[in-house]
Amino acid sequence: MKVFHKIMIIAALTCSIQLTFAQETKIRFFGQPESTTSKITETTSFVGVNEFGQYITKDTSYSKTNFNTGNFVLFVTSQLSERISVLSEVSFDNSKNKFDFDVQRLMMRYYVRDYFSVRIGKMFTPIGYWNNQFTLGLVLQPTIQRPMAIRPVSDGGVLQYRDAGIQFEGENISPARLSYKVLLGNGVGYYGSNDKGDNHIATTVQLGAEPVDGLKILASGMLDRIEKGKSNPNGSISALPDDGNLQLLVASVAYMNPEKKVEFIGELLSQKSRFNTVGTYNSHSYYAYAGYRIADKITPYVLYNSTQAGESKTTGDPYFSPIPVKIELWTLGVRYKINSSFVGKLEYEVNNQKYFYQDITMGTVKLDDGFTNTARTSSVRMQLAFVF
Amino acid sequence: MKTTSILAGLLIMTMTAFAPAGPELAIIINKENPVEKLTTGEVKLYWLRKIKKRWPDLNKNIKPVDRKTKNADQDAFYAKVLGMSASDVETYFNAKQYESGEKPQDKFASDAAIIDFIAEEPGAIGFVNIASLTPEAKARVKVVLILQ
Repeated sequence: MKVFHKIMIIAALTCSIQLTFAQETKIRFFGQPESTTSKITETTSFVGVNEFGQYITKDTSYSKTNFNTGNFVLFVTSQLSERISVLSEVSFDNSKNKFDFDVQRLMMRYYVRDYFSVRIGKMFTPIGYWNNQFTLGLVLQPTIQRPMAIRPVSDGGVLQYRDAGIQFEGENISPARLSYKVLLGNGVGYYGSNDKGDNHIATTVQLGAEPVDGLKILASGMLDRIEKGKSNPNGSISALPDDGNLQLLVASVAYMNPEKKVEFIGELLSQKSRFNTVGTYNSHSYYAYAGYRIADKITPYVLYNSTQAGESKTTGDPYFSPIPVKIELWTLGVRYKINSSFVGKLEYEVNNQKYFYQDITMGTVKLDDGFTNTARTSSVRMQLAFVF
Repeated sequence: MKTTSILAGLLIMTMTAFAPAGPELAIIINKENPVEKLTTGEVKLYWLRKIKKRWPDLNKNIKPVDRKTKNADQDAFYAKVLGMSASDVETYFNAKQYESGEKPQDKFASDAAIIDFIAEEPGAIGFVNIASLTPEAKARVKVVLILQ
């Protein structure tokens, strides 16, 4: 969207907010500058030799240090009446050597009862726990970055973390505090939810329970169409080979109770790309986060993430990654909560990625052997997240 | 020496026994609200909007009311009712606002301002020092719990 149009949206939203009572409008500003020092070691190993008896190994190793301002988020909510509220979230991202401006969320909510409300606009998809709790509010997020398993498609992940559409939801149903969300939206696309060529509406459903205060158990699922000729979400394939269906299932459990010292989040994602004639391909990811608060303000934590694109070393997933990939991340960190407005985080992360390139064949002739490309990155990262 | 130690211990015990107690708080709601009494646990659930977003019989949004700046009354409310630190309370409401646009608590600079607000807002619930509940104030709001 052109910058001018985006500015007009902000101006229109600001004007509409001025019409409301001042006390009912809350404006927040989230920021999270960070610095990263990384050492990257990449090795390539061949599985055997080619017809000339040659093997090639390539080892590269380099370090880099960079500072970046990260995301700045302008977040505005307004209670327009007893039942109608609006929310807007605009981000300014300078983390990729350029300045990006984006409308992350823009929605209105009509509240009927605790067990039934309606939202319309652009919002976070009701997939999993982390996606709805944190995203760009990094002062609230327990770690510096999202777990790899739930990174958005724009960052090479599987998750369509936001969508435009209409959502029906309810919460606090029964003493077990059951909840549900049903989102009818545009669905997955390379440019987020705007790249939509057909009239298919993606459906995302989440069911949840909070049987104990702070313990949330969620089951989420998304069903969307795959369109032949379109690129896959992360752009690694410019034209998908076939039409089909995308199914994403997520199981989540989280215990984040500020009254307790222990905190835990675990999520398991299973993605199935079911093409009409090409076949069915699976990818899965999971992560586990655990922290323990000591001395009231300090929380050391650990995060483990495992992502497998494709079912095995020889079978990729055209919708996610045509080359099978195995990613494992370990993160050790400590979080210091200065107060509710300032949180500092320090992390050490080890990232192991393996890309399983297959044999190159033409007919019955093998032109070259496949190989495994292994990249190991260790990083030290610091972040100061704040909100005003 | 032994006598001195015993006397010192008795003196400390006496001072502790007669030490000033924490502030006595009153949990107040609007007079239109049909709720008559609440337990400490219920006050916590309603004030944090954990089980309901609207008062069931009143059909109005629950509006938690807080003090704008840190003081002994607020500390006592956070400790005795919520079991949370001030920082955690702010983070809790920030998280709710970020997740779904839920409006945070309304904050006021004094007990008098809190009483004025609750007297006008049917869905409001807040805390004040019991000394602030003059006969005129009591006529305008309803007390549902006394915390000692």
